[in-house]
Amino acid sequence: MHGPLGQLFIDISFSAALQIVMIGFIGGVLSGFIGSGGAFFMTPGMMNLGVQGVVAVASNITHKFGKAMVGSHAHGKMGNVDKRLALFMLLTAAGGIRLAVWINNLLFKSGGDGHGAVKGAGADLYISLVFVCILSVVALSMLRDVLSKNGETAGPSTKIAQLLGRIYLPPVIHFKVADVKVSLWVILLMGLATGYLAGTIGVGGFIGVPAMIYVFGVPTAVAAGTELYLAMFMGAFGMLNYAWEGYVDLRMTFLLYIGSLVGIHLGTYGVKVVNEKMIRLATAVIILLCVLSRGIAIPAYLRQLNFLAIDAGWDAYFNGASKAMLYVSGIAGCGMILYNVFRAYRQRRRLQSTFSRPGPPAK
Amino acid sequence: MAVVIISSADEQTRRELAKNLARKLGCESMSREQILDAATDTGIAVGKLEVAVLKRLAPRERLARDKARYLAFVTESVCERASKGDLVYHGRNCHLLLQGISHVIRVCVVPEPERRINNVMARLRLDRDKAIEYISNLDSDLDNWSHFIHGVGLTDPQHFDLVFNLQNISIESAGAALCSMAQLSDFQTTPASIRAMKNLWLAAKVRHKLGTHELTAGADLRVSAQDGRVTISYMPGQSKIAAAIPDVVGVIDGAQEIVCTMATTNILWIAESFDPSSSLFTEVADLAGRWGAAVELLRWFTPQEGEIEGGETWLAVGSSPGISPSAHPVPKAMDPTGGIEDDTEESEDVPDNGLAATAERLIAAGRFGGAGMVAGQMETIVTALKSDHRYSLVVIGEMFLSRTALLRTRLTRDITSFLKEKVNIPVIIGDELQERFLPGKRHLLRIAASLLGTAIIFGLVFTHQEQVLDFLAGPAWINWRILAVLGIAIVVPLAAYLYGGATGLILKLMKFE
Repeated sequence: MHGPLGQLFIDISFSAALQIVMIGFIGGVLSGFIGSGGAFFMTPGMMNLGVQGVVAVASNITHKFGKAMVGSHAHGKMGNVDKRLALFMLLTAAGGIRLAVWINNLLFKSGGDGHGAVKGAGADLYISLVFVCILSVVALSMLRDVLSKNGETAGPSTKIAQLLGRIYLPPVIHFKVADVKVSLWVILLMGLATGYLAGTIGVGGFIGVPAMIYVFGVPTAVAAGTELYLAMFMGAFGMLNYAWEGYVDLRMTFLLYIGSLVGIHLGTYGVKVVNEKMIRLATAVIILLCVLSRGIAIPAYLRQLNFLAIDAGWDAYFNGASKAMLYVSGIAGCGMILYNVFRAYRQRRRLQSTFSRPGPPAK
Repeated sequence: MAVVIISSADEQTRRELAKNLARKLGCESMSREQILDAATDTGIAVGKLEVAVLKRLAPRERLARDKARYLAFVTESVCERASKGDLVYHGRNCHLLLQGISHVIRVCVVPEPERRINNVMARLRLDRDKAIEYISNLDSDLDNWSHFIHGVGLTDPQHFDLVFNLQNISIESAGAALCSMAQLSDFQTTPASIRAMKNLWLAAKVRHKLGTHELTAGADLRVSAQDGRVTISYMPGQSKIAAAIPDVVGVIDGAQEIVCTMATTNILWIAESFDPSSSLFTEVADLAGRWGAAVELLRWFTPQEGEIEGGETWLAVGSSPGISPSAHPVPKAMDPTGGIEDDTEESEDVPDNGLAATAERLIAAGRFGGAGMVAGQMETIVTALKSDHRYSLVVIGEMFLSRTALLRTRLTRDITSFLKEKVNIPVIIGDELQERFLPGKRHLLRIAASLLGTAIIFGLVFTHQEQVLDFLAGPAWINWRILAVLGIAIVVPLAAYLYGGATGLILKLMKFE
């Protein structure tokens, strides 16, 4: 890739293409298993291949649009989508995405201004910091929840959820499919947060799904279906915004699809066959490792922005370590899920899943 | 034997009416508060559950286990007392407890507002405004609780046999009216209604026992019972505990057989007649295998006089396929004689129309999730479907067999539309099952077409990378910015649709659903 295009987009060799497909596949498996977008793996995965942060986010949010469209269609057939709730959240989610795109664009364009800073380093640092902060809270909440003795606590977010859940500021709207009544203001606030995170790091589902479950009281299946429906519109809106700024790499999006649309089916199947506690434990550990991986890359961005005085040669080590950590977490997590998926698939064919026994004789 | 259930938001009012009626009937009254005390003694934290539900402290799925345990305990306690003779039970929304038992009288008591306010002011030492606010909040909480526990609102009139407004009638007169009502043949026990209660009781006993044992307390189990056969379904992630279930259940009076089925979800197959050699059976069993689902059978039939103009309203009561699909209660509205006729033999002789044979075949296929029979009202099924979030599909099979083919088609379509309108679960007629959910030859064509479309789009993009990127973000891109955005907006969903559709269908063919 030459000229201005070369500054923005990478050359995709056969090996890079395979890696992106693999990133998509792992992201898809994790996404289907965890019930969120999988961007926590795919965005840093692409950044580690040398893709500009803003291009990685843009290509991923574009990919998310199509994926959510396919997923929400399947959920819709099962009656798990509350379209009205999703559309109310979308009112402010669109604003959140727009805000995220504006900040990303500003930071991307402000880098590489001739003062030694590398183009895009500001945006990369910002995306990485938001990623590390938000996902650390999410993963630690999950971990605390799993490791609690009786499993009855719902993590640190519960107090905020309780507070928001108690807000009955009119107008309060009844959503028939989810069968909940929620204050419009709480919905708009959650929509804004979901949109901002989706636009910044592509993981709006980490806020949207827990918010729907804990704050609105929506059943998990409906929350997942509604979030996918919302993600479809947010993805479309994010895609249009980033495409308008010229950041979407269509090739990346397509390569991600090749892996993710297969992986997501396998991940979803995994949810059915893996123990619930194990699902949450695996999710928390995988996210934490992804956070660690992104955290390792931060010193390189700080150096590129001249905030840290270290040798430029270290960038390769930071990036390499980050990449290795990400792949280890992704491959290990994905491997664990796939192992359980295929074991259950084989067992299902062998196992008599109903057994009948006469009741013990009455005394 | 009379069983009268009195529901009212005001404890004092219902307590007074229950005592009055119990004195007249010569039996004891039992209150929700007594049962809650007993539940707390056995380790069921009802208060904690109430707070968790009302303050949304945990996801519904987690609360569902506690709910099942609580409901099982209450149902078991009420059934046990009711089996001994007449019973007057009173609570806040207890009329939803023994659904499908035709000899139970469900009464709603609307308290006098002024009296209720005065009671609250005296009991809680509040001023009038605070008492009114307290009552308003309490009613709202009770409605939310009722929604969570039973899937319907507190004041939904179709779940009551009688409503008393105490502004217009005294407690003494209400008690006298209820005493007379309890003598009507409509509310007398029949072998069928006793069997229905036994089924409910057995399921509740088993569920309660499983909920208290350390091995099974944390498992998502679903229990139903019919005529001594207890069906327990469990999630695949909990398969390790499955083998222990019969031992945990141990010796329970009435449990002759225990059937355990591993299932991630449930398919409810409603029909008047079942045929295990039919193509519909093969299709349902195939789909259940693909989804890892258990199939619940519900033989639903309309009474001869059941059809009211338009065929949209159905008579009598039914069983709940939720906690316990029960036997066939005698449809009350079948009885146009004022109650003076034999209602026992007829109900005993209701044919099972292939239900037992189909259940056996499903057990052999490893996909049995329970069976039940019900005559009458679709609303009862709707209530059960709403309160249970584990159904993924409702299949409507052979119905209205005594009608002409055309009328049968119309009525089946009507009932499908009715259910679709009322519940957020896919409801389909059996004939559509193959086309909608099972792979066939046309899927191969779709896969080929989708893959071809995908190959063309991907091929064009990857053989013209420079041109594509130049078009999307090149130096002159600003001149055709709108076109670039439009291009992405069209190509991306198209590629996702084609490729996603193809992969989904391929995995479906491989039974990866």
